[in-house]
Amino acid sequence: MSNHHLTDDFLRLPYEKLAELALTEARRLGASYADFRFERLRRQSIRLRDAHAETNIEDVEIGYCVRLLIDGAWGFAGSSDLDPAAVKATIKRAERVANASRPLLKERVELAPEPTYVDTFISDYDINPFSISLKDKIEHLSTLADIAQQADNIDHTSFDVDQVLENKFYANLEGSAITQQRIRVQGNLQATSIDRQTGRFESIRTNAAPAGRGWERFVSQYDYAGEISQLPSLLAAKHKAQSITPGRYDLVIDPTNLFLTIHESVGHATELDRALGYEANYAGTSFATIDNLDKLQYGSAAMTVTGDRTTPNGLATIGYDDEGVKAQKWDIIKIGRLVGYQLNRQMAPKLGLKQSNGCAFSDSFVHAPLQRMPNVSLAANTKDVTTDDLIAGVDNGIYIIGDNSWSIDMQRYNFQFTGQQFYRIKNGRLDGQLKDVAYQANTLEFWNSLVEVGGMSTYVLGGAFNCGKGQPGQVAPVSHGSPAALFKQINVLNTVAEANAA
Amino acid sequence: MTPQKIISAVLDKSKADECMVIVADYNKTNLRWAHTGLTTNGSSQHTYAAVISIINQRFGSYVVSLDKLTNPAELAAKSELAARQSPIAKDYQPLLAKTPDSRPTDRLSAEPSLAGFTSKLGRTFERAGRDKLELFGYCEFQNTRYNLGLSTGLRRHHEHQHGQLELNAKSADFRRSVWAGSSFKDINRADPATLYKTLKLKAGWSRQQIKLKPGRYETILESSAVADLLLFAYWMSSARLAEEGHSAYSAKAGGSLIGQKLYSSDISIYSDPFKPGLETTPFNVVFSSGLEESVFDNGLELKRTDWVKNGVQRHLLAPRYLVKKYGYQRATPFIPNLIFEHAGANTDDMIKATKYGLLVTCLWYIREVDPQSLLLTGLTRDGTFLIENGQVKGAVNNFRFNMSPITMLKQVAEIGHSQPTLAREFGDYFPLTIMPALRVADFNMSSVSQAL
Repeated sequence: MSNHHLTDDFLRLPYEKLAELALTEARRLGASYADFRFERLRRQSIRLRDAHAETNIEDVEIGYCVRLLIDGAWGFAGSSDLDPAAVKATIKRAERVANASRPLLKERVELAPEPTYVDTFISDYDINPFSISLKDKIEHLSTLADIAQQADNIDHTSFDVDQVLENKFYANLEGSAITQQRIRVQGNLQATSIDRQTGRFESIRTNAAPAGRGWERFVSQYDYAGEISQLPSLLAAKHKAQSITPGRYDLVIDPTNLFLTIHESVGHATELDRALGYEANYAGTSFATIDNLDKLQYGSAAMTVTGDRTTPNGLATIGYDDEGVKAQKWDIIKIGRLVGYQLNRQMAPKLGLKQSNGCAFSDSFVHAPLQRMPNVSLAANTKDVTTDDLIAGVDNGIYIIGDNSWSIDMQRYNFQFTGQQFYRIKNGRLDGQLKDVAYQANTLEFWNSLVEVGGMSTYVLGGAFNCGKGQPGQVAPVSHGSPAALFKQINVLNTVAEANAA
Repeated sequence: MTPQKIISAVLDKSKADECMVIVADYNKTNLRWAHTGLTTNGSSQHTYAAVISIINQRFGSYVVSLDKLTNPAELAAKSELAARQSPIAKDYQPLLAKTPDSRPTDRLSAEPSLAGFTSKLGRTFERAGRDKLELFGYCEFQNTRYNLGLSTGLRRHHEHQHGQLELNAKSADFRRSVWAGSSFKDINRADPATLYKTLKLKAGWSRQQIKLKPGRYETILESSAVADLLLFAYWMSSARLAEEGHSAYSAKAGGSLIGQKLYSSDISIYSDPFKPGLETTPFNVVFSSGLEESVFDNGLELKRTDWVKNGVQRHLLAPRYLVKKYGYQRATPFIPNLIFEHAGANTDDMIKATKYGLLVTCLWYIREVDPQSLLLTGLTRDGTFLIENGQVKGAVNNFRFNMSPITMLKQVAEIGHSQPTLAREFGDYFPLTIMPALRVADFNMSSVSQAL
């Protein structure tokens, strides 16, 4: 919990008055459950191209929504009109949605109970990015970008930075009233080098994960200058690197890459709404259906994964979810076995559970909350196993750093990932860069090929700023802690060969 | 306050050299269903303004939700502060001058009633129940309006409607799964019964299930699959990246591929904001500059743009400031519809003309693997079939593909009959497409996906 206060400009907004109006009206309509959510989302994006700021935009989205249950049917409506008269009209719209939906319901919506809370939560950060002037930010980012831009072999750079200040006020008919404030940032610099003789170009970027932190991420908490200064030489070596010969290799995967594989192949696969078919038309389903709970050997014994909405500086870290459920931590995979799912209050009873584990989230007042991912993290080895130790155990393999392209099928089986940097491992040592690498696997085969995970010295909290799900589409921020890890005999493709015509 | 009054009030308070105000509002209604029952449904409305101030050729952009308490002077001041703190814009151009414009509307059209659609959907639910199929899907309808005002006196206004419907039918064990989608301008055109007819046919084809190995197959991509691949190619067609030399649209010898014949003369792809049925905002609306767009082009009239004509790459995405730099004829900004017209065979006839090949309904999780070749990866989904001797033999396992849409267009063996279509993956964000089915030689199905 941070020492900061709710920002004054949020406190000035009439969220408590509108909540009282909305919930009184919902009670009058006979709603068995109703919640009111007020959102103020302040975002700023700065984009530098070739160390010059070309994009700057600040966006402040303010509005509220009402979700109510009438005779077992959901109604939802949101509006940016803060006039009290508009609140009543919004509730009427929500009632109309519930009434229109009811004839086509298959089952009445039942919610898991939750204690009531009156509380305030503010995320942990040092510097509110909106307290720093745009001028100072641009100057700082330009200085960082220049480190790469001035190198002889760098033709172009791009530096994309996003900052978010999120305020939510949630109140329900049960008596909860929760005010929350979170800050998150992301930023990475990409450098590109073009071989004018061949027309071939290569890029490489920093591996700074988005984080539940403030502007300190860019000035002190992460060593951008150090990492950017290495990009020109890394890129020069990447140009000259040997193109990978396709085949099966042992992979040592750095947490800067593995976080995304965890996100796609474990995080999404263990969402209960997906496992039950609620996302079947869009995001998809899951192979990890509920008959597999406590039975499925998801991975090797080296694999333990938790869901956690309390991870320090996690992007999905919060005090309470968007249904008023208190943040918590639980096991999803324990010693390789599937033992838990991500839940909201509607999903929990379907698994016979009495309470949700707090995974409801909505990205905006215009959207109803869905079950969204908590911070899903792979546990580190209790022994002090280093990345060098993992590499030392490999005769013929590849060490992969940084995330890049990703794709996984609609049941979370077949995936393909690339990366930023690839190094050949020969007889337990790194032996120069490789390029054109993609690894492709089946989720269960991949995680059951996990030989060993690194210790806490290798652990990094990675993450994604805008994970997509649902219709209408919503984005959610989520972090994934991971150690380095060794996987045996994974299928590796050559991306240039894949692109060539037959 | 009406959008016009907000625009006037902000422009009155502006102390910048130049100022642009965009007031946007929308209302949206959506229904979602799973296991043949409605789940999360909603209705929302949002009104917001973007104020872009120009001071000494620097710009600042401030966007905020609007309500009656909004202070126009505060909006102007915030964007002016951002402008003063920004460097000189490399994309600076004088703002567009005043031109005659149509009369604006005072109110956004009301959101449509759901009653008519839900009764149609209910009848389709009943049919599916009789056929022992479960239905999943989504329908939304949105009214969107843009009002634009510039300190030069330029005013532009436009409202458009669009909706989309998706239907996914599955057998109870999920082993058979088929999808169809459509987009429309009038909620009364949302027609689940017609989509369901296609689903029933394909669910029938899926009773026979065949395992196939990965490889390069002659493949008929239906129009939805073609739309997803060509939308990605469209989004990646930045003129600037191409001219700078780091894009699949860069020529090896330097410069871009503009003017080069890349594909068969039968291939022409364009955008047109006035295309009947696919009408969209006919002027440029840009909140902040980026690689392919410039705030200084706000209000620029959009007109038909041929991206590929008779196989020749004619244009790439280019804002005004690149026109002189690269010697282009005119600016060619992004237009949110994409049209590939061809009067070829219908899909049934394409199937009949196939000795051995695949039929792919739609694609999913499409991502760029290699920007050099624009290699994309993704999955086939909800309707992949084997064709033998002119007949569909049954459903086959899904595949992960690795294929560049540029290579795909070069390997086109037959172009079908174009029709309005909904891209399965990107249709949520880009629903306005007209595409044919394509027969593609050697489509690279890289591995098998077990996904049902």
